[in-house]
Amino acid sequence: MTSALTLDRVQGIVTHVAGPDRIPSAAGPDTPLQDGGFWLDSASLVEVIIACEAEFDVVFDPETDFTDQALSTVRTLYGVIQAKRAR
Amino acid sequence: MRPSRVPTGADSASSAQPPALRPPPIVFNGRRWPSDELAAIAAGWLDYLHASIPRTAGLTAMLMSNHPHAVALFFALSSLSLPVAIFPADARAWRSSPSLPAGTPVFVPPGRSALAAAGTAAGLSTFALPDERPAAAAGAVRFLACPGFVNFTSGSTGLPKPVYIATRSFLVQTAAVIEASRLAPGAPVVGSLQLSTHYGLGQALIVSTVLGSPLGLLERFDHRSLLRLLATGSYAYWAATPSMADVLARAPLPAPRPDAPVICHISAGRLSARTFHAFAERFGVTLRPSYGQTENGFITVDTAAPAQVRPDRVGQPAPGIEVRIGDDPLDPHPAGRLGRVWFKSPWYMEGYGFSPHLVLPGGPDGWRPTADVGSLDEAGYLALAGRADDCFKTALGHLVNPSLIADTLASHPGVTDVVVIPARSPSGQVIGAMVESARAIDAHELRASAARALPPWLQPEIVVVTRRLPRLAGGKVDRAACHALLLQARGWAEPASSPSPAG
Repeated sequence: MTSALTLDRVQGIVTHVAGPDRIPSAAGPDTPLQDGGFWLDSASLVEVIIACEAEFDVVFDPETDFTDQALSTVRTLYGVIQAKRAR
Repeated sequence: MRPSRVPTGADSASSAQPPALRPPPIVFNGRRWPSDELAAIAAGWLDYLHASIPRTAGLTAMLMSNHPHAVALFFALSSLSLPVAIFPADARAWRSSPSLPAGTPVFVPPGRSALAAAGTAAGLSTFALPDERPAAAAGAVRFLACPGFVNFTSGSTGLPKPVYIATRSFLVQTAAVIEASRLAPGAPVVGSLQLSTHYGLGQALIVSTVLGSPLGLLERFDHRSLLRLLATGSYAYWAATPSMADVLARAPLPAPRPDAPVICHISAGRLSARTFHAFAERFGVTLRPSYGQTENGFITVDTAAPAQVRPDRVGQPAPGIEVRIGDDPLDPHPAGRLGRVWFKSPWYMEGYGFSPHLVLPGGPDGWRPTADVGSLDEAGYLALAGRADDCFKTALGHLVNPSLIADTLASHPGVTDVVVIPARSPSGQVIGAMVESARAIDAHELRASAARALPPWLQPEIVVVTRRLPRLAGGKVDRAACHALLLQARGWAEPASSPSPAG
């Protein structure tokens, strides 16, 4: 089922995948997804992507969407999904 | 110091040499890189390499990534007379024990200036390759002519160790992979493993090189890239990890559904029955469990008829390999009895370290010990039961085989992976279990499962459920990080300068 796209929902997916041990105390939309933030490794990023595809009914494009910039923070990831749903 | 010219394979080529090996044609991000183009790029860099390698260098090194430029650099270095150390493009893996000899030139493919700068900052003598300048004389270069390659262990129990493998051993191993898999020349190969690992280098790049096959190369693994690659053509061979197979077995699929590669070898981790069956149901292809290690590469694979393949065993010895079980390989255990796994191999490493300073562990009569415990059945199929050095004693004096606990917890619905390690509590070692699950599982449910199946002294003291186990750059579970999380769950402090939980 497709969910409404909100920043909170995207962050919820990220924190669910990261698990309680990897959530920084001041986690927010601008917390880095990888080193220095949620510490997601490549396998965890794939889990986030799969969950977002299922939740928001979008299909990512590896060449344009899986860039370091797009997968930088919750907010940049939200932006990618938002742009896809607007098309 | 003026660098001298490093001899190339072309300088010493003789009629006794095997047929010329060329870089495989690569499909990468939708672009095809023909073999001739990659060979010409490699040849075009040789002058730069000669000018950069000090006369005193005993080896060369490179930062490997899954990109055609990195493959071309690998082939360029492989044409020289020095061993090639292959580091991943991940700064966390650049420290090893022993460390790379000072002054060893570390080459970085073009366009990776940040990586080169990071290497320099880490104390490596990095050289960023210039942009490609293809050379017309590539035909005279003999690739894979260097004496050997250095891969690194995962570092799951300490710093990564360099593993030196002779080029001829890589090629003999590759012939065994091809024979066991019945791969025909030209059979297309999927490269989703990191080429910096022995597993990825051997079973993606070298296999496709020897077969003269197209290599569908992924820069980094994700389900969309792989599904897109599979949609472009029929692939014959895919060596992968259990987590890659798991993702492909449950990710949303495009329409029409692409075909999976015909032969899928799964190694470097526990293949769950759930993934095994889900993959077969989705793609109609049987995953074939396999077993190997950085020190040797390919050891076993299940080549049985699809209906006979089982996820709880890792197949029979590869052609040329012998496997025995027991404390002493000269007095092996009978079928069905658990013990340490030993093997004899025609393509074992030359030793740990950087040539010529190598340390070769060994057992009697050429038998090589592994860190794994397993059993052979009457038909010679190997089933693994965990790592020998994982067994530990708790503070109460009970000997624990973690695999028994891990298998019990892994059988719980929704669990995808389990790591059981000794956790150093303030009162001594206790049993800690990190459980990976995509859905929220109550730790009490897991404890109840364990209580039904295991004796009281094997009940885990700490159970932590997580979406993803912490993993090292190569994909193996980071046991030190697991230990820290287990202690954190109880609010215990990490002991100062504590040894690895792997023991």
